[in-house]
Amino acid sequence: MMNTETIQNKLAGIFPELQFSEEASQFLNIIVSKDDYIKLAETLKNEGFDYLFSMTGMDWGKELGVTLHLERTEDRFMIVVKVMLEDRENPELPTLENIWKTAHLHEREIYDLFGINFKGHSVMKRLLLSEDWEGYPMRKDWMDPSKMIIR
Amino acid sequence: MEQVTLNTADLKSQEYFLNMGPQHPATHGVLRLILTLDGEVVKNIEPDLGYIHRSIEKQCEYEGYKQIIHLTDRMDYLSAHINNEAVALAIEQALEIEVPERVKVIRTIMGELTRIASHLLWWGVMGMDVGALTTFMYAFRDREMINDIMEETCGARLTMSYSTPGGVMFDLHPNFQKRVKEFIPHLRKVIPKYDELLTGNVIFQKRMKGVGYLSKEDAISLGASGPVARGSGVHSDIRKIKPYSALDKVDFKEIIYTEGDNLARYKVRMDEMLESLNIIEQLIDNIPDDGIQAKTKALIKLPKGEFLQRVETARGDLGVYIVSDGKKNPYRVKFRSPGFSNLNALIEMGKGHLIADLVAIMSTLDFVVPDIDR
Repeated sequence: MMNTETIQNKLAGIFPELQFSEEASQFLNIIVSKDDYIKLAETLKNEGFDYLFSMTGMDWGKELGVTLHLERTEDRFMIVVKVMLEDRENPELPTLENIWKTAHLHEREIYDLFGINFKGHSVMKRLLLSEDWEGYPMRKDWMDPSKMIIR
Repeated sequence: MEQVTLNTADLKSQEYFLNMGPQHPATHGVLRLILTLDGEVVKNIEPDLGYIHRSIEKQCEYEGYKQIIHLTDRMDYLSAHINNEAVALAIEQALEIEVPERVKVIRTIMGELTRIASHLLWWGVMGMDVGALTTFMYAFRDREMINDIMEETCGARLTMSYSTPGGVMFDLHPNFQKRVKEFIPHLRKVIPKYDELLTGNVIFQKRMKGVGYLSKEDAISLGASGPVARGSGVHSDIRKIKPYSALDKVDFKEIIYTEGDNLARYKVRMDEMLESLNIIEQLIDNIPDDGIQAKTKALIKLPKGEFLQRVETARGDLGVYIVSDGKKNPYRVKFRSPGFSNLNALIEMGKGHLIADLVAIMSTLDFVVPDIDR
C-alpha cells in the first residue's frame, strides 16, 4: 500500500526542489517546476500511478498551469501534481501523451481553452472551438464580447 | 478468348479522408470524426468536438453553487440525477454537512433508476446501430416506466435537478414505492427476453465478438472508465472504490468481464441493470424517515480549498473538481467527464477496423455528446 509519507520521501530524494502541501485538499499536492515536469511524470508512472484521472487547465491569476490528478489503479491512492507557468504570452509544456495516452485529448482541450502549447503533441489543434476563434476563453482575463457568459 | 490476369500485388490503394458526422445517426448527437481511410479500413480517427459546447465550466464561475447543479443536468442528460448528486456531494463535502439518511437512500435509489434508464436507452440504440430496429421499441417501452416514476417525484423526466446541497428538492411521491416495486419484477422478466431477441442472435454475435479489442493496460492508460474499463477487466467502479450516499450499506457485485471486446462491454451493461435492481430492492422497503434537507444557508459559500468528488455515472467515472477562493462563486470548476476520456479509447480501438465495425464499437462506448463537449 502506498501512502503519503512513502511517496513524499521517495520523491523528495529524487527531486530536491519539489514543494509538497496537504493544505485545503484531500490529497498530497506536489508543485513542480516546468523543467522537472516530464521527469516527475515518468517517475510517477514507474511508481504505479498508471491512471491519469484528469488534467485540469488552471489560471491562477498570475500564472497559468495544469493540475493533474493521478491514481494508482492497484490501491486507488491519488495524488495531485501542479505545474505553474509564469509566461502568459507563450506558455509551453512538454506533452504527456507518451506516458499516459489519455493526455491526448485532455491536452488538446487545455490548449484550446487556456492556450498552453504542449510540445511534441501529435495533433496540437483547437478541439472544442473553431479554428478562427481568437483568445482563450477559460483564462480569467478573457473578455466576453457577446456578453453571453459574463454578464 | 484471351484470358486477362490481374496481379493484385500491383494494385495500389490511396488514403483519403471521410467525415463521419456531425450529422451521422450512429454518433447519437453531433460528434464529428475525421476518418483517414484506406478503402474501407480505418487508419486514423481525429475527433472534432464542440458542436454542442456550452462552456459549462466557464458558466459555473459566474453562478452560485445552487445554480451549478442545474447546469450539470445538461451534461450527460441520461445520468442527470447522478451528475446532480456529484455536485451536491462535493458541496456537502466542502461544508462538512451530514445529510439525513433518507436523503442518502433516496439519492441512491434514484441514481440506480437513472442508470437502468440510461442502459435501457443504450440497449435500444445499440441494436439499432447494428441493424436491429425492434430493440429500440422494447427499450423505450420499459424506460418509459422509469421516466414516469421520475416525473411523479421530481417533476421532470430527464433533467431532474433533484439533488440540492444538503438534501433533495421534494419528498417522494406517495406512489413511488409502489411504482418501483412494480418495475423491478417487470424488468427482471423482460431482460431474458432482451437476451433472446438480441444477445443470442448469430449476426449480432458476429458483430460483437472479438471486435474492438481493448487491453487492460490500454484501458487504464487511455483513461477509460465505467463499463468500457470493466469490459477490459479493470476494477473501476467508484461505487465500490469510494462508496457515496447509501452505497456502503448495500450488497452488490461489481460486474467485470476480461475479454475486452464489444461483447464484453455489452454484457457488463446488461448485468449492471440486474445488479442495480438488486441495490434498489435492498433499499426500497426501508427508507428512513428523518427529513429530506439538512440545514444550509440560503447563500452558500465554500471555504477556501480544493474539493474533488467522484461518482459512477452510467458512463463511468465522473469527477467534480471545485477550486474555491471563499467567495459565493467557485474560482474554477472542472468536470472530468467519462465520455471525454472514453473518446481516447475509440481513437485507439477503431484503428484497423472497417467503418461498419467502428459504428458498432462506438455504440458499445455509449457516448452522450453533451457529456463530451460540456
